[in-house]
Amino acid sequence: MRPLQISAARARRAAVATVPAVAALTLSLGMCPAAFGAVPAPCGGVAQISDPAGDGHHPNTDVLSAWFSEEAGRLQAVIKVTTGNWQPLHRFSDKAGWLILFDVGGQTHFARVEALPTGEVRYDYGTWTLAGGFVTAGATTGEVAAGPNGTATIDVPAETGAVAGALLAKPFVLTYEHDLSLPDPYELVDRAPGGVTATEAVFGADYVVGSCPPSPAAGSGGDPNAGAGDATSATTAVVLDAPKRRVGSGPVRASGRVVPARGGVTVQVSVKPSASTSVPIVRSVQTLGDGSFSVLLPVAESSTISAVGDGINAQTLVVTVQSTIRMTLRRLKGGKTVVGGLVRPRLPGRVLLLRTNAATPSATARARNGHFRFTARRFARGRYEAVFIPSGNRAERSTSASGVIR
Amino acid sequence: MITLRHHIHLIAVLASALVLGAATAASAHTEVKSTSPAGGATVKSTLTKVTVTFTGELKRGTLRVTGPGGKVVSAGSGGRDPRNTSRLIVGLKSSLKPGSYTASWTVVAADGHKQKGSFHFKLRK
Repeated sequence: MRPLQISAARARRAAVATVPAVAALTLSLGMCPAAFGAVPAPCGGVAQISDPAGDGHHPNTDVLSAWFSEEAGRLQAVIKVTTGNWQPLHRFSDKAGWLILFDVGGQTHFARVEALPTGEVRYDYGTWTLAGGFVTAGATTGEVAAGPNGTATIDVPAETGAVAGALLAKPFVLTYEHDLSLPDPYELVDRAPGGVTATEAVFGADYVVGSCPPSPAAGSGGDPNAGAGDATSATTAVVLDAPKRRVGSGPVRASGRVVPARGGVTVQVSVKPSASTSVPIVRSVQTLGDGSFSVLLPVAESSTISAVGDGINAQTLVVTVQSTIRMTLRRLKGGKTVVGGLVRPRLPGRVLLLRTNAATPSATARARNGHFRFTARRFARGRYEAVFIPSGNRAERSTSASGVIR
Repeated sequence: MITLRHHIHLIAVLASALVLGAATAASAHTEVKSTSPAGGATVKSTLTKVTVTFTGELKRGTLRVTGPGGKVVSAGSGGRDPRNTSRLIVGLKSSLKPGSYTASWTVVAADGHKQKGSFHFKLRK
């Protein structure tokens, strides 16, 4: 079903056709309820892609999650955004786009919905390369739903290689505003999972086409084991979970499960600092009888965690580390004050000494091996706190408890 | 009775509202999340700082507070808070008098959009 799409031009036309004013205003605000088909649920209730809210520039291009579904008896991709408002919002954009990309046989394919300022919404599929960009192969069908948690459902044609048994690997979503006045007209505004660039090494979970046919109970989101055969079947999905945030030092526990659930499957869980190109640390773990696994990972700074079992990748997760900082004030004989402290984890970075109501620091120091020390001869009296700014986005900045220099 | 001219005028106003609504949405990337003190609040005159927290990261910004008679009571022009890059902070001079105060801010958001705004609060003894 085509969604309700309202633009200024269309509203003007509608108004000239003597649509009652109140109705026009209601439509303009997007408050008119529209009847949409049910959005196909993710297989087993777990989306292949999840992404934090608020990192997508506008609510309509801010991706929350995305998944493949075969609930409707055919393969569909669903992209959920903070607010479904299917039109470009930048003043000079001629269109906006939402697309899911995935690898089949080493080629990156996409299924896309694009919306024009006129309110027209169109669906297509094709291939994408970093050098060549988006190359449309043909039109497809779909529907969009407006409002909070809005969705775009795109039929994924078999021409993308998404045939029964095919592995749709490394899926991710891009959203963009398209502005022809820019050197690169595709102004990316959100990547899910990840930030905003197309080349980030974080992906959603792989999906095997045909692994999740419609279940007898409508709306259950498919039965992840229905098409998987007996307990000796190959893995069709790996689900990974880990804390999104860790404060201070210490390992992080990553856990998950394989689908279909069975024991003895080797899952390799790897962790790598997000801000470095170092070799990841890999831990191998066997699944228990219920298909679950759990492993402790050393996380010394903000890192990406990934897992692969039977060649099927789970969604890449990001663990953000928040440093802790402790400041000590010591007054020496003769009135001199020494300000020092500890930072955990022991990351490199700068430490600022600030009055509690100041925007500019009174002193700065380097954190080395988790220690810092301010060597100014004399500090003005007052209440101070220390702020740690890790280098290279290794962790979030952190603030110590305040202390008074008398 | 609504004449055709009235109807067309109303339609034009509605159409303008639509266009303005779109323009507002296009520029509303980083918004004020909260202020301290809250806009319109009355707080003790022992207040030492004013902050404005936004929904997104800031590149830079200024924050200035003026009191009764338009007197500047903020210490310096303030700036992005090193503790939280989504926040502006400015210290206040001591011994502030009760009365009405205005905090005016300007920011350049991380995506380059410039914005400005202000809010009011009152100080009591």
